[in-house]
Amino acid sequence: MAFGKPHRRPPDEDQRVLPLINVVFLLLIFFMVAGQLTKTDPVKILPPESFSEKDPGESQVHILMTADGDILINGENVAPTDLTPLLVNLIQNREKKTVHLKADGNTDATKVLALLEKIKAAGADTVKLLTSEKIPP
Amino acid sequence: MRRRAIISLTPLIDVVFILLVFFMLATSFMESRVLDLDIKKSGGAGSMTGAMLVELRKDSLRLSGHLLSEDALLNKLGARFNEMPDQKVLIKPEAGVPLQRAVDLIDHIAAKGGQDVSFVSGTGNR
Repeated sequence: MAFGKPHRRPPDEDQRVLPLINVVFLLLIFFMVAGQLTKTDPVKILPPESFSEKDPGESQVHILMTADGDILINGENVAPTDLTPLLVNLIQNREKKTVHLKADGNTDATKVLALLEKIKAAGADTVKLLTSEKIPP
Repeated sequence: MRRRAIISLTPLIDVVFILLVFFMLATSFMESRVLDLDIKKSGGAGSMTGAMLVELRKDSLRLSGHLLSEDALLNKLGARFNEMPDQKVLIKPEAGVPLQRAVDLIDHIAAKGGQDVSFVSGTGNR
């Protein structure tokens, strides 16, 4: 490659886009490596912030609670009356009875507790409340 | 200089751009953390004995029935944890208190050294 030398004819299309491709490739690799692919929630939930540094770990049962108190289990809306049988059904057959609960920070705490009681009553060993990281002051 | 290949770079760029946009939209950089939640039934006497009850109300905090400011309450709990590191603390939120406040309180108690913090259900308000 003769950098610096004046080109006798204008560089063809491919050579003009090479730096662009370099940058785009770098960006692509950055996003592939640094980010993590996660399933997006069907509803908007802003989990409470906490200083807790525990890793979420694995769980097969994901329960979402919106700020209004609506409950979704594994992505599907659940009526309050169907809640207990569905929870029992989901939890009883699992080997690891861990449940991830993602509730909005603005949800009424008593509603979350009522749900927590039902989850525990359905046989869950541990219920983990998902939080987002809070930077210590 | 060798002859350019027949395949031009433009389709490659197209594909790479699409991949880039996909990864930009699909990846999340927000890492979640968890807080273990535990709940005690307000009726069950056995687990409640010796625990300190913090009532979390909309505009105030009560420790075992006494109205306290948040700092005073945390200091009191901190002093207690120095004597008894495994002191149980129960948090009883009032209806209408957002979850974020309850989580903040747990954080603050944990920062003071609380190891056994759990919630109590029950709507009984005095």
